[in-house]
Amino acid sequence: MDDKVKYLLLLILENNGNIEQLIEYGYTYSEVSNFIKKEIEYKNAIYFDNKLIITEKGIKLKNELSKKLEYSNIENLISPLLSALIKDNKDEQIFIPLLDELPD
Amino acid sequence: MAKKNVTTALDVLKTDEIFDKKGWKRKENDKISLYNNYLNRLSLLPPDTRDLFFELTDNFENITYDDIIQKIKDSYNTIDRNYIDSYRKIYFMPLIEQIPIYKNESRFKLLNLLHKLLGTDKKTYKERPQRKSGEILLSLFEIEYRELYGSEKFVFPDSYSKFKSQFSKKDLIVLVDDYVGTGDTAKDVLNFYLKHEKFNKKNIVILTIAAQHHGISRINKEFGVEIISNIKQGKYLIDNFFDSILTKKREQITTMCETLKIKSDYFGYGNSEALICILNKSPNNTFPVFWYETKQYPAPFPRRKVYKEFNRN
Repeated sequence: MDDKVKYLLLLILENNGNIEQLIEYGYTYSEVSNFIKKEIEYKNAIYFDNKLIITEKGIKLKNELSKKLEYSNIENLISPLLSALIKDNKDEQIFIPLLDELPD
Repeated sequence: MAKKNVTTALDVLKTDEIFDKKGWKRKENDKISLYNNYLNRLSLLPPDTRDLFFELTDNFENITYDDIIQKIKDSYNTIDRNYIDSYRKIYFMPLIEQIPIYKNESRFKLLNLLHKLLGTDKKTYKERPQRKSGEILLSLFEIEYRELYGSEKFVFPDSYSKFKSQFSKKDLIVLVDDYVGTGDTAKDVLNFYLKHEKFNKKNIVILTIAAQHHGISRINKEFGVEIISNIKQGKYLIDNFFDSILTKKREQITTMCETLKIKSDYFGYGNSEALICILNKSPNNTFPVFWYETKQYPAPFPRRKVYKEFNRN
């Protein structure tokens, strides 16, 4: 797997983010599923009790990749799953995030 | 339909667990596989309804080409052998209303013209739509029936008129279909057959792969005809839950359907609450969250293929 994709995947795992970003890159759900399982196998993430959490090892790897790829503040640009935080997300409603939720 | 697809890594893992449990295959790199369509559908549903979607999936019966013949044989094998012994011949016909077409018969030309003038020609010319699933199933059954009990008595007539002339009161007619839900189709077909004095409730049975309890009892009550089926399903929500839990689950189904912009029958045709798909085709009794689709958003268990190429953007 490409370092960039791996980085994005770890970022998604850390933030409970949207894997559709990977689908938009052209991966199938099957491939994404295999990627996730690989991360669990390498102990970069752990799946138990219906929860999927990134491990210390995973975070460390993510930070290493960030340095290698020379991403410094790019994390701030990728949002976690904000829509999950919104109740009654109707089409006509506009979600206004708090100031401290906005990227720098 | 909602535009944004949202899927978490946890959703993918839960989907994998359910696919493993059900023995459904994940085809790698296949964009219109069941797995992809399933996750695509899941990605459109509001997050707080997804657990119910998984729960419904867990109870879903997906019958594929691989096991269809075995399933219909399983249903046949539940018939009492003495019952089979008591008939001279066993005729198999699809559970379809047989509608005569008069088009090419000259003696009807004048009559047709009269009908046309009177505006009553619709009935005369009503033709059946393409191949029905009952016919497809019957032709598969016809290939592999020999080891079944009483198979030496089996007859598979080519046409209804031929069958009608051969049939005697000592014979049994088995009407075959893949599925009986509310029993509406079965009712129409039985009304058609029972019009003729040759047929009565004692020499007709309906053989299906799967049927719903309410359809079975309705047909039995109204006609005294038995529906033979190895897979019997109820109405999932009403049969399993009550009070506040039932209300909550029903509300979640409504939310799902509204999100997908489904217009009617949120709980399946006639509120059947069915969870079944046979030969890649869900009956309309199944919850529409599983089969409703548009060109852009394919369904995991469609009713018919409305899209040729599935394109996400």
